[in-house]
Amino acid sequence: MKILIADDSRVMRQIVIRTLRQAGYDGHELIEAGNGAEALDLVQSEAPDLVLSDWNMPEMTGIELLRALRSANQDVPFGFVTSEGTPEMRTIAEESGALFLLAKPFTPDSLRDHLDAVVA
Amino acid sequence: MSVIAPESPVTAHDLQVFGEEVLTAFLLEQDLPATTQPDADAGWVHASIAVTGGWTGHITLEVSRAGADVLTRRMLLAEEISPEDVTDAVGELVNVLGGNVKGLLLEESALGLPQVHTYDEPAPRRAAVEVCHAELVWAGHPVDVRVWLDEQDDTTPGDNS
Repeated sequence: MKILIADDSRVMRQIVIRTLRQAGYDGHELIEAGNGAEALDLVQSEAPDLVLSDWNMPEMTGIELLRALRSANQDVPFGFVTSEGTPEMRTIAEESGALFLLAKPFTPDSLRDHLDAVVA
Repeated sequence: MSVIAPESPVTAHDLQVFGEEVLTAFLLEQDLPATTQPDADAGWVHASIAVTGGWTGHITLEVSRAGADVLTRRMLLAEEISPEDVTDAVGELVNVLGGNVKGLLLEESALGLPQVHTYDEPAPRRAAVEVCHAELVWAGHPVDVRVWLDEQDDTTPGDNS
């Protein structure tokens, strides 16, 4: 399985990668994007099986990325990993086609709770 | 000098709880040193993130440069780090705290992107009303976290550098 991790923080991308491994998701191909626009290009060129994206990013935000993907009939499974988790944002995320919104800080257990139904 | 803002939905206890969650999730690594060489990196790292909208203010985080180095090593699980890594890591810490603080606000607001600067002395305070503050201890280093309510005539976003 190929997983795209989009976050403007390299440190946070490393933490997501480490937490994926701590949660038991070994053996997957992981690719990284530094903003939504870069992630949009990588979805087209790399065809990931799952996108884990931050919400607040320069260039293109995570919700703009999701809407751009769905507008292009791209239905790659998509989850937010973001510092904000208000009910309003969860509603917007769900209505836009996201599978889940995981708020930072997260643990291997909370990550697994969201990913077990998605990651084979 | 600061004034306590009335009717605040955010308290010092909330900041302590958020700080504990960040510590547990990102900073508890037993195989890395808790401290660096004394006085190896003098000065301070100051990070802030703005909230705008129905509630307009900002969240700040200040830590010694030596402490920032340790936190960055723990977040990256690496001994060798760059100044860019420190900026990234401390910015992400204030981003996570800011996102959690924003979740307590009753008014609809938007979270900005983190701003990080280094100072030889603690950063000067901007014109704002202090809502609450907490002195966290992460990896043996004190970390000062504050929530500020911007005064209505202060429209300058971001930091004061």
